[in-house]
Amino acid sequence: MGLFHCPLGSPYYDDDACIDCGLCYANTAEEKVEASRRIREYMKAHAPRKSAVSKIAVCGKGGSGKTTVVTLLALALKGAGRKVIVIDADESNPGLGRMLGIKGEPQALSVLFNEDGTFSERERFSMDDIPPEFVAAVDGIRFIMVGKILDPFQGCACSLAESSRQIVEKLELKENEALILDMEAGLESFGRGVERQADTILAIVEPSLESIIVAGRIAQMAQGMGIGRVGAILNKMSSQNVATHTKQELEKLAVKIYGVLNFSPGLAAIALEGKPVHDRIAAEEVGIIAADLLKNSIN
Amino acid sequence: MTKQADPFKVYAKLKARIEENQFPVEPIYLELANRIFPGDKEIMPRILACLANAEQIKIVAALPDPNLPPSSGRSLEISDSFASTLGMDKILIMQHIRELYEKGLVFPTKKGPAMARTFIQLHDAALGNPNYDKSLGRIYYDLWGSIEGPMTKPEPANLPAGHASEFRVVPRWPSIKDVPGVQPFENAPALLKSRSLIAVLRCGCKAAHTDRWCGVPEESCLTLDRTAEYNLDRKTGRKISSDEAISIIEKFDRQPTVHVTVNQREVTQLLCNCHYCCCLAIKIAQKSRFISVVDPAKCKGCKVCVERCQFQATTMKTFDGIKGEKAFSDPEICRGCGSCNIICKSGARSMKLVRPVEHVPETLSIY
Repeated sequence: MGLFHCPLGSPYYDDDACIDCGLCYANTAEEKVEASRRIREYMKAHAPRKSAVSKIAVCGKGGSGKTTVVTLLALALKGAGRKVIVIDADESNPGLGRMLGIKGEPQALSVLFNEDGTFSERERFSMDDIPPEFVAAVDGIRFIMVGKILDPFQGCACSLAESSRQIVEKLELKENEALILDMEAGLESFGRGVERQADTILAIVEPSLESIIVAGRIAQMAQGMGIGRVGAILNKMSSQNVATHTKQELEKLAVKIYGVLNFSPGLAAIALEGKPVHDRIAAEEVGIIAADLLKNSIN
Repeated sequence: MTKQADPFKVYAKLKARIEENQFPVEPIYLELANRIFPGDKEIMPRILACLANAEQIKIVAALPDPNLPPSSGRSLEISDSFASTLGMDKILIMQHIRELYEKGLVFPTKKGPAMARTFIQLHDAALGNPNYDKSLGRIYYDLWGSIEGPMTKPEPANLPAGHASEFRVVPRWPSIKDVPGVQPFENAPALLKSRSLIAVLRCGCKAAHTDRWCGVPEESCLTLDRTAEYNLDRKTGRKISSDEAISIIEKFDRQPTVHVTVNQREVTQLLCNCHYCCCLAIKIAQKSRFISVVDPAKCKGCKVCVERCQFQATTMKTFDGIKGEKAFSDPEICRGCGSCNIICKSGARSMKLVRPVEHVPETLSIY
């Protein structure tokens, strides 16, 4: 231990960054244990304070109900007085705008973030900077679409993922604004770092083993990115037994549970018909989760 | 291709050079060396004798200055009474201290200038400054180089278990960039981009091994944040932007090096480019979360990866139903550096994510 090995990045003993933990000059095992204890205490005391919920990424296995939950959550947060911005970062799924009740889609924002786009050079931007043709609004909820793959020869979604990452990173939220990201299915976006700028990650879990495993991986990866507020929302729970079993499986994977949405025949019918989401019971259930998130009582 | 050398022959030559250049040292050097590296009477006293002349070592022995007001803060300042006790001119003492600071023996602590406290602190500081290469001479570097013994390839047995390693391997970025689940702490370009300050230094480890055979350029030590600030102040480093730093590691993709950094998630110290012929950290560097796997059907059997692997994980073997010998990386030994991956021309190699995020500790904790 010495110059380059200090856990706190202090270049040498008694530098300004040095906390005199003693690790660099510890000789015996006891001294090292004692020094490690001091470092842990210091890090605990100086950990960055948990920020309020403002950028929420909704992830999960395909078909688990991400888009439905995003819609319900947007309505719930709006009901709680937040100015909600919904970003559709899912490259392949056309449903979100329709579920929100938006007629006609906004232009894809990725155009502005391409190499010659006007936004690619900018460090930060706010909602006011985005031209109106890229934002659709309905009942006070603003909706942005990153881009869609429509043409089979458009190729890989990587550049869209890169646009998503930049949008989430650079969009500066004003007070009282809340951002909800509808992520693409699975884990690919994590590899591209799209979620890194989010402060809250919700993994949507339907009653299937695969969905549970994906949630476990999401929680693990989010933790590795230093995102503290990560939890699962159980969706389509058809009975108490199914919910209990799913909870147990998630607990085995050390995934926190933020809430439960029971199976709703109404929602299933709406999904089939492609109508805007409207379901009183589900809305109440999501309302509880949203209130908990806003109170910052879950972590 | 890298020229391979016999580490034992190289070490024998090094020892012979030290024997030839024996020089006596005053007791004061022995006494101070004992503070830094207790028990060693041969190497450390001579290292100190190279760094500080008779006048300078007297100053070092008297540090820290007991008369310095505690409010003066971290600096290289000394008090008037310190100068008069030593019977030397204050300006002269300050000049000596500045030189010793640049050489890496003296540090500006909160108690004013003070000697290096530990062996590794001195090692990392006192080998990084190329401005004093000529005045220190080759024998100075040979003394440092002899401490670690013959520079053999890392063995699996060198690796401490669990989190008990100070270092970890960071995979070469091109080898893992398309693997889903890559974390920021193993993404070398992202690591460099997230730092506030980067300085590139001459690598001290490489300087200490004058007979090294890896052929990697000496200017290969990327220091970050406060460590970069310290090295810029000592004029040992060159300030570079994160893009320049990324282009440096991209250049090293053609070199036989392994990225090594401190075994924790937040990287605030340095990013190394190591080869076993001149680096000790590599022996104990914890595996990355990846391993390299070979598709024997695609492997052309060129053996370039066998030579490139520093950890003795890659061998040639025969596979059922496939003609000829093909490369094989032992998943138990592979440390997931990605070096073999990026030089494979036949596209037979890929990196596989095999370990959970917890494999890399939140913070370096030896115990």
